[in-house]
Amino acid sequence: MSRKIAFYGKGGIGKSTTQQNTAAAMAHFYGKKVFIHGCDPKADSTRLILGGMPQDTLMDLLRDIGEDKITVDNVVRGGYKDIRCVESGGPEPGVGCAGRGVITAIDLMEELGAYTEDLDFVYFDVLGDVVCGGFAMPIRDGKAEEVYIVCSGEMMAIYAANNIAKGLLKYAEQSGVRLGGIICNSRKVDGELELMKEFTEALGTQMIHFVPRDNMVQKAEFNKKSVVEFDPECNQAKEYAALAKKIIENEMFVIPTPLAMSELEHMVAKYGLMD
Amino acid sequence: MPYHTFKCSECLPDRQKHAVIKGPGEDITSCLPLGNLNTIPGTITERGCAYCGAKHVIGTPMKDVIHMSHGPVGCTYDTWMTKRYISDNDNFQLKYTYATDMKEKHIVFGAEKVLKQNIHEAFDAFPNIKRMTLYQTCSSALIGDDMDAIAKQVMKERPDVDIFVCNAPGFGGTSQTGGHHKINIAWINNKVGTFEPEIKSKYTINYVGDYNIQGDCEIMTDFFQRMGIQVLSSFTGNGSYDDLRSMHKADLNVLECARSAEYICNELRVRYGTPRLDIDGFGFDLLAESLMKVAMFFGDDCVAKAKEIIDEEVARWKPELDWYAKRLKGKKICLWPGGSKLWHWAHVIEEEMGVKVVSVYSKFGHQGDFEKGIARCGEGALAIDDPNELEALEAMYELKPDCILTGMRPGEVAKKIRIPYLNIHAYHNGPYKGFEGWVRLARDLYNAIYSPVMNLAAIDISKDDFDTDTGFKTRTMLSDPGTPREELHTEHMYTGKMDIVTHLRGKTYEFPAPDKPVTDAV
Amino acid sequence: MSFRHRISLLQMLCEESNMEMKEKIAALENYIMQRCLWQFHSRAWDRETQNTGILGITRQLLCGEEVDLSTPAQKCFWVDAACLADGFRSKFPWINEMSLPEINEMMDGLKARIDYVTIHGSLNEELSVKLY
Repeated sequence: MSRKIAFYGKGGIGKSTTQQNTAAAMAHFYGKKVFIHGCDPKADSTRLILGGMPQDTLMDLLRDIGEDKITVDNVVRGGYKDIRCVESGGPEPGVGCAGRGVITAIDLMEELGAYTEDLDFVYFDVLGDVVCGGFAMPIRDGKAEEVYIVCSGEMMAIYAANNIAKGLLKYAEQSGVRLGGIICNSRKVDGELELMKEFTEALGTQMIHFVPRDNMVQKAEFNKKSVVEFDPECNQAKEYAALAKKIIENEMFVIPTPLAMSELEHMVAKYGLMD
Repeated sequence: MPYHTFKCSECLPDRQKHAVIKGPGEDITSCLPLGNLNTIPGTITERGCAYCGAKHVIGTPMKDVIHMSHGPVGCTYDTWMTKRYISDNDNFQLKYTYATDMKEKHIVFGAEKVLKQNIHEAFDAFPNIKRMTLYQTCSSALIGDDMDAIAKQVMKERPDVDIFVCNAPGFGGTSQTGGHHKINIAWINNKVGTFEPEIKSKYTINYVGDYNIQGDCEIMTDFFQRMGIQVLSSFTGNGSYDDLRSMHKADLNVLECARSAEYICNELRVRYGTPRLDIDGFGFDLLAESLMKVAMFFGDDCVAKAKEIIDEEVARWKPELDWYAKRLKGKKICLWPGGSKLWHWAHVIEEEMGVKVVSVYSKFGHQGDFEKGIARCGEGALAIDDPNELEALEAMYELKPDCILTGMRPGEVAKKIRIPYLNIHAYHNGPYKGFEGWVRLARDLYNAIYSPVMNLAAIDISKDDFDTDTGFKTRTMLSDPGTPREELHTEHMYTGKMDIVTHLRGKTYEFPAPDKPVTDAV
Repeated sequence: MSFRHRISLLQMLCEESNMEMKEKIAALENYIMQRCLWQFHSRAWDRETQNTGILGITRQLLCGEEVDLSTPAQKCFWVDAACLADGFRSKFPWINEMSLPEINEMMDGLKARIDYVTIHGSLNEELSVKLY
């Protein structure tokens, strides 16, 4: 039985990087079988696993060869440690409906039986914020069962995380989706750890891991690799291994209690004004 | 490849592979048009959309159900009542149509709340109806309303109702065929296997791919029941929602329109091991063989009853069919249905009515349908995939048919150039299935071809049409002037009643007792 | 008669009987294509199963062999096969004069033709679609 998990978070927070490193760590350190479904129109949710290999996205194929001719083989690629990857893709910015693209892509993958029984984890990597119905797709109707929000101590990232929690709350009852925790991808801002602890507590969840900032990530990314693949012995690889282990063993799944805007502002101000 | 290029489509290179002429020695390995492709800009198609295919072709014939569209009111209203799929519960499903009436604000803020409210209101308004189908439309699909979740909530709040959700937005496919596919798969995934039927006979079937146009399905189920077979469900003509949830329990799937319903038969075969038997409900010869096949599957007692029915029906109706066949002999027709009649009729209508099928077409057929149609039709026939209005006109001018057998929209075009048309989507005076039905088709075809009305329409009304000493010419126009008057009203013309369906509804049937149910050891 | 002469005469005879066999197969193929629907199931693998099942049983029936009716699927094949065999016998009475090896040869040829027309030579691009 595979666990279906979705990674959400503000754009630019390092969500895709965290997600791919976690996948690589699960495969490398714990021998888990992982499938990554990138749901970002930019189609950059799998490049570290695939070594930057440019990939036809599902939406590209839908446009070029038509829905009937799409098969698992022509959209799913195997990458590092046989992690299986597919990118939904989508229209260029400003045209069409990327949200509908997410719906179509997930429906199609389910229909084609791409999420096979032997997988331990299916990851959905979802664009920034829950901006419209389409981007909520992975947490709707039981498509993803647990959600991890990637966040940092910056104000906007926390706003975004709180918004995502609101979306989750809406769907929690009808689809059974739960929040598994907040991953803090550190930006080294003041009082980050404390702020995250208070924030996660207020949401009723946990900070599942604090990923420190390390240039190793950028270095590996420059080489189109995850840290785990680039240097599995380095400190940062061990951080991702720890995160992977916590997710594998996680038992804390909650319906979040998002904060009102005033509460949130108050909380951020408290830590922001500390120095 | 014997492709045919229409003059009007010379400027559309994409259309070049959509029409073929079956020349001497050609078969389907050398003569097959493309099919089920997107309509291209520059042609005006006669196709419908996927939502319409799902809801109005397959969903709505279900009789004991509130059929609701989640979208603007036009989607459902503008496609309402164009079909004649009657039912034995006073046509409940035809009389009412329901929409959630989505507006601008619902698009912006989501329409789940208004959907839920509508569902409750509809159930409140019709307290005797406990089943509902919900259809997604383009607009609700785009904003991603989770209709499944709302349906689940309502079912929790009203434990006595059951709701089926069909996610087939209008843009989901090349034409209505995309919707046929989606609703087939959704039904087997979500509803089949969720209801246990009462088994009354040793022999059970699902009758699949018939939509009870003017009673077609009721004619056929009468035959099956007289043969001792219980029709567990009919997909979906005159079909009941709960019966269709128990499709998994039938011994055999008897399939008519493979285009709209082969998917569910294929899945039933894979998932439950139920065999799929394709039959023809039209034409004496093919219908007789089809009834025999169904009977043979079950046993000798069934076969004996089938033979009895066939002998009786053929003896009763063959002379009347022949009366029309004699007069239809050599008449040219274009067989231009939506899908399945392309192959159901292509050969047998020539054999039994003597007409010549000079062209076949399909609006939304796939290549598989053209394989069947072209295999069955005669040399020289022109086969067209998804024709546009100009191509159809050009074909009619070229082929000079005596009658066009088609739907309402292309039929009205034919009338403009004074070629009579017979409505074979909703029928003129159906049912056309069954032995008597086939005679009714012959009768309607005869009336269409021999009516003087087209001559009348051709008269140049800017001039007087009469000589002053003889009176109006039109008054003396006769239908079928070649047939002596005394032959016109003899016993051999069609003598059936106007309504041949209603009397079947109170009938009771005897079934051979089912084998004792095997209780599973726990 | 010289040896060479006899050989060429034999060849001629063979060709003639081949020719005749071809025509017979074509007649049967034509009958199937105009009357039947079973050969046009949805996908290549369905057609393979249908052709093998139904024509296999038709051959058994024409040869007077026992037919396995133990499963619903077999029974469904048999229904189509029995009607086909009956049709063949009444429409083409020459079948009743044929020897068993001839019937076998003819049915092998017919199966090959139907497989070709409906599968290998088919222009239907949907035959290879993986799902229904």
